[in-house]
Amino acid sequence: MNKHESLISSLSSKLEPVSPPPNINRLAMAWFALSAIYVVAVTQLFGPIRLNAIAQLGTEPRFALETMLGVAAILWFSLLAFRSAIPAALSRQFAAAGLILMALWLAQYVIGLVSPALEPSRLGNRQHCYIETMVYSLPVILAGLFFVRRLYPLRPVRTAMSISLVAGMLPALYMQLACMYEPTHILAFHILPGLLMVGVGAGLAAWWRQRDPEFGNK
Amino acid sequence: MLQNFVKMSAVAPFNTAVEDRLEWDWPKAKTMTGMTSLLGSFSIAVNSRVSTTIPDEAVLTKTVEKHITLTHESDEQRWSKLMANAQTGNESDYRQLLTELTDVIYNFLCSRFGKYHFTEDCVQETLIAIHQARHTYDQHRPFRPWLFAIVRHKAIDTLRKQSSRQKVTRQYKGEQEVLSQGSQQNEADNEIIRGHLLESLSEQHREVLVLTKIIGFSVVEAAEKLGISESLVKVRVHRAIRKLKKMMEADHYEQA
Repeated sequence: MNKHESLISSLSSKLEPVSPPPNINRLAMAWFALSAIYVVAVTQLFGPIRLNAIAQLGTEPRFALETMLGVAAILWFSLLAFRSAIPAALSRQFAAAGLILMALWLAQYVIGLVSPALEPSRLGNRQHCYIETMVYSLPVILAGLFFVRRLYPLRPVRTAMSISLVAGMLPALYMQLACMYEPTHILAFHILPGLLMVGVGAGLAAWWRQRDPEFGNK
Repeated sequence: MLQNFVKMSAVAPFNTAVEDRLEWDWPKAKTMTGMTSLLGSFSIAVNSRVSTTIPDEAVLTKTVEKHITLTHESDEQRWSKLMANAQTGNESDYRQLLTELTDVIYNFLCSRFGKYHFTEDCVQETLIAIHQARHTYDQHRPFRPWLFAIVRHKAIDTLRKQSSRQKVTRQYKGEQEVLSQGSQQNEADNEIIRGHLLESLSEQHREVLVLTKIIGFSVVEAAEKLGISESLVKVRVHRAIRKLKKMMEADHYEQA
């Protein structure tokens, strides 16, 4: 054990105080809330939402359930992403529950191909909804990575992928209100671009780690 | 080894290092000598401390298990407090914590991977990781899961990053000579040297992993030794590490 003593003394000498970790759930909720506000604001800025979308939330229970399930899945995944940035803070059950919620939400659109929650229509169609989904999610990904960079994710790329999934799905979900409702369109032009951002986030994290190997390990 | 364990139990029953040795040795000791002979040896400690009565096997097992649980709890609280103090910049507490954890991590890795040069490397890597991650420890959460999440991750990470190291290979050859001299040693001792995680791998996965990642042979050398292609060596190494990772994740040592 003697060879470890020099390492221990070098690690413990001139030990600088560190601030205890932030409340990880609160941090995740704050990121989620800020991101949601940003997505709503920026989407509104570049075009109006579908005319009767808000009213449909009250009159169409399946549509409301679909939307609420989306909010719940994304919120749960936000918590999951931030918890994965602290050793042992994320339990297997919590991760499994997040995956199940996300799968349940996405399954609603697949079911919608046969039996849609709303009558499919082109009302409220946005010309570049898929580009909007991807572009709006980029700042959310960067903000998420900024928040977790000083934590200690044991699997930084996986953490970045979870953050990117949330970032991609937030505008995808809001497009449900802002763009036309048609399950094929939703899957191809809202959900798919959102899912593609997972790869972008993983790539960003890998690039960041290459530039700064201490990323996520500070 | 068993005698040492018994002596130390008698002298310092609440010492952390001893307790972690106890965790490691206890199941092996049971298979090695059987409970009866262990009971006989343990009675030395019992006699010197309490009474001359030798408890029966079940009582003794319960007592030791209770003792381990109590020690786990006291370790947990002490480590948590030491880490909280370290977060405020207390050097002596931090040194004490790292010193105690070194033994714990070393014994943990030895019991799973065996006593190799790799184990020493891994302990060092883990200590550095603990230092880097110390700000993420929340004293309202248990310490052990936090610690062993890092240990498990670093063990696999270090194993994956191990490259061909001639120095280690030479050292291994020296170790092999010592091991061959010790062929009189009983089987149980050899089991302890290897570590149970490596033992649970299939023969094919174990030999390729030990040759390339633990001893330090290159892929070419390992392929020559085993008489298989280089790509097959790479595939087996990849699969062996993946399997080890799964086993490490399923290993709930910290909750024991």
